[in-house]
Amino acid sequence: MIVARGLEKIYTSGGRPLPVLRGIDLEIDDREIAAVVGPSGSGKTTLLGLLAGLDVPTSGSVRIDGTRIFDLGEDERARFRARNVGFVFQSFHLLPALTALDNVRVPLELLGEGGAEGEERARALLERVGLAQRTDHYPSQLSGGEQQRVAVARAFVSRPRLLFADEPTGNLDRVTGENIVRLLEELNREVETTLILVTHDMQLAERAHRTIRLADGSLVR
Amino acid sequence: MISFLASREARSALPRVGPYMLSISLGVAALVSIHSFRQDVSRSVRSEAQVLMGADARLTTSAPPADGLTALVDSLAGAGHEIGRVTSAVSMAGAGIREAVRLVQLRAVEGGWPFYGEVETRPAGAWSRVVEPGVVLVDEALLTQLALELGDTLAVGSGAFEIVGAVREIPTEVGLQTAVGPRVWMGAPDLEAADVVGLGSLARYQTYVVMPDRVDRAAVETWYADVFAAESAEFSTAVAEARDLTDAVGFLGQYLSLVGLAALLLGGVGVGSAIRVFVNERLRSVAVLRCLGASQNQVFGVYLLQAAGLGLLGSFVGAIFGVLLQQLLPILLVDLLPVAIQPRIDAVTIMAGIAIGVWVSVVFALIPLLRVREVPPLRALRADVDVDGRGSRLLRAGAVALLAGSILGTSVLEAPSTRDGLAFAAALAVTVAVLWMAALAGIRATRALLPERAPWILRQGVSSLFRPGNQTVAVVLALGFGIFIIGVVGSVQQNLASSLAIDASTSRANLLLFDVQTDQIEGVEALFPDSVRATVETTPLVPSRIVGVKGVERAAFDSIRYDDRPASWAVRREYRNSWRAELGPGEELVAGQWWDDAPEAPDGVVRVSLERDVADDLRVGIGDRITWDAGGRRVESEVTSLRTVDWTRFETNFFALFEPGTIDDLPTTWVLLGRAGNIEARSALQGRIVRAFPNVSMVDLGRIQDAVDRILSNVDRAIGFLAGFAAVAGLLVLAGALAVTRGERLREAALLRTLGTDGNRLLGILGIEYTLLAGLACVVGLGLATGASWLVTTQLFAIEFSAGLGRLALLGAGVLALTLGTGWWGSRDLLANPPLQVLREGD
Repeated sequence: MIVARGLEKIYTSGGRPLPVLRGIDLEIDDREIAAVVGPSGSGKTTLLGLLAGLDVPTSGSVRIDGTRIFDLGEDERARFRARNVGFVFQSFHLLPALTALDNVRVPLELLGEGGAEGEERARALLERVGLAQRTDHYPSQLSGGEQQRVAVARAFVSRPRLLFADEPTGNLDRVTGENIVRLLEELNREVETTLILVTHDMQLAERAHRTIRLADGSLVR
Repeated sequence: MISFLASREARSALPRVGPYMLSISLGVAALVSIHSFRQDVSRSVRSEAQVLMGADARLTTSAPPADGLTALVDSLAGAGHEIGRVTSAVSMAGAGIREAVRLVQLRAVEGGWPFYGEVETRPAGAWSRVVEPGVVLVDEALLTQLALELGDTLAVGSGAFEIVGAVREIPTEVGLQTAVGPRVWMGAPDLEAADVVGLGSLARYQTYVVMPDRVDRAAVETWYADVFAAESAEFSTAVAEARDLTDAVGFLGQYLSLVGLAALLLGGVGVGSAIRVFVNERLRSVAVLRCLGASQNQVFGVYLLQAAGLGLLGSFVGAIFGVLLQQLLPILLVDLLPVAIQPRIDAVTIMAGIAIGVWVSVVFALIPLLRVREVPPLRALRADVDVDGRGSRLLRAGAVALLAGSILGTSVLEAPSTRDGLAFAAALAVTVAVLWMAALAGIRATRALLPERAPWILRQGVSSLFRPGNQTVAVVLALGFGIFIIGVVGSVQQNLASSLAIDASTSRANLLLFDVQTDQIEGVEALFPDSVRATVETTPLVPSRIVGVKGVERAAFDSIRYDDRPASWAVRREYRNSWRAELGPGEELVAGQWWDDAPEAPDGVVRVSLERDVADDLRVGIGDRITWDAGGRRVESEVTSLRTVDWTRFETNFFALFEPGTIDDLPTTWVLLGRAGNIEARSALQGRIVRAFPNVSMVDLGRIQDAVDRILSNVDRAIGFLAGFAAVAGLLVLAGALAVTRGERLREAALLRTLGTDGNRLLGILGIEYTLLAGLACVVGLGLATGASWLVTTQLFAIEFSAGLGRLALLGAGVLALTLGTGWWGSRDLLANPPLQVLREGD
């Protein structure tokens, strides 16, 4: 369970404080699929970054299964992510020098589980997302949809309890995007992950269990 | 539109690219300072030419002038030219009955020499007394060494003279000439009274003439060529000598300017890297400009103009720096320079330096800038649209050709000769090609050799070398090139220095005695301490001249076809021949047979072994005859072997060696090489020897070593100075090269961090990547540097080569440390900031 209390983030722009999030309180249950929606600049990505511990808030706290993540140091947070969190990004963010298989293995390597068993798991997941034939291809040799499927496999390979997806279909055409969403939903059920989606796509948002609306840095009830 | 945008953009480019332009500044500074300095030297020497000789022309012989020369000189005097004479000899001089003695160079002066320039003495004006009988003037150094004062008596040979003045500055002798020993000036009659000029002594007779008119000098030189040849006289003019001097300094200068050019080219590589980074950062701006309707040429122009502007700024800074250095070089090289140098700021040199700097900036920037032309306008909308970096093949080929042509052109311009320039450029090309291939091979091998089961950090570090758009080859090339330049300069310098250093180990001789007569050998040896007496080496010297080659008398050499005619230096010189039963340690037989195996010579002909080069110049080979004159007696010899001689070894070596027992009845003097402890022990021994045998001369080799060391340390300083330039330029290139992939690296590290990599592992991955880069560059650069300096030392300087592994290891460690340091510096944002920020910046 994720609990956020009084989350506030103020950036400084041109010497002036620029509040991006103002006092966010929210809870997300285990295995829930939550969609964060709102217009550009409403603070969606910032909220996601804070919930995942990629950034620190100006004030407020986030508790994930009882762990107050901002009480952890940067490196401890990194290790926490490695164990508990998966990511899918709008622009895929695969490591370009690694093959599809090696990209999927990265989270396991970080947990010290990159051995033969890990490789098997990575291979199985790639098969699961329909890329059994493309394991040795580099990202530049894959289409956008294929890259995103590799990213999805990477996100699930360590069986994280939380999965954050930032506009996962934003750079994909409708059909490919639909496939990715279906994949996310299926894997979410299989792995029993909590999924937090940031999206512009209202159709996608409606498929979530719950929609969190943001406007101008605040929650809209 | 182009200049408007260029000037606006340049404001933001300056802090990004400006620091790398400093590498151009360094190169320009080196070139401007070296060129200006060379001009200063040649101008100063030219204006001081007459002062350096003390006259306008000089005749030098190793025997007193005979009839022909005397008649010539008399006729010159009759025509109103002033004549002066200086007879030089070496002898031991001591403080009367006191212990201390020193080898001195005697200068017996006649006439008003020196006719130009001032001799600075203590007391002032004492020089005019030099021709007075019974008095001498001496170098200040001699007074110190012998603990004498003005007014004391100096014993020279069989005479005793009052010291009436100390010479502080006489402009006519430079560099090593004064290293043999301090000088003593006296009147010509006194030299005869001292009775030191005898058989085998190193006397030299110089006649100085005042003839300021160039036409007169040229006429004398051509009309009297026969007279000069007949008496083996050497005719030289002040102008020609000054030219030789400036040539010598000029040669050093040109060597230095090639190092300077290397520093500039290295700077060019740095600029290329910096521009590449800059272009990468500006891709979106370029795309926006293209969307707004700017043509390919316009956007290209905007960035080219910025590169030229920054190059101009860098070159300008470099020129200022260069002018400052120009003032410093005469101070650094003071012991090498024949005259005081007045630095003068030369606008043309400065302009040329700036022009070369701007040009190098532009041609090195061209290739990365071509990418700007290929940015699709769509890139403004979507960051992931690829830029086709290859651009138009034709344009790219043109840019590469321009770069190659520019390097070739500047090399030829800077080198001592076109040939050297081409060789330099070719060496650069070969180096770059080999570096490139080696870098490529090294990178591939690293991946291939990496075990499948290697730790993840290691695999991740290695895979970083292959990230798309990786500059691995470029970085290894740039770094390796820097290492190569520093390695070669350092290694050549080290080998040169060690070849010139006289071995100071205890087993070597440190005292050289000459003019020892045959019946004095035993007596002299007896004066050495018991412990070292057995190690004293005696070598016979038979002063001889060549009077015939292959049956042709010397007077008839002119009738020989030019190609077959013996070289005049080899014929004219006075040979000090010797005999030897075995080959010396520095000698190697390259043709014919040594005595036991060589064919017997006919009666009345003796067998001789010649040094190969002198044999070449005499145009003789095995079986040819040479006729010698030794103390008035003719000796007919047949060449039975040719040798190479390592002249750099501190041993007695000879052009012509005879078989023992064949010439020992000729007038002979002996050279003794021995050891006698420290400087006090050597002084005491010299005192004992000179009191017992006043005709024997001695050279304290330890003191010569000091003089050589002083000169060497000057050269060392000059070269080390420029190697420093190359090093700093290399460092800037390194920083630039690493910065090229910084963006990509940061994005990747941020992603790894997002996925849960902690700081230590990130540092580990970065460390492995940088270590691999530096390691590859070191292996390749140092390997090539060792090969190149082996080539230069053994082939060009023909001296022994030692790789100096310690220094190489030090250089390698330094480069590794700098690379890791620079890498860490460039990645510190990443470790300090939360990853989200980096990810967002990446979008």
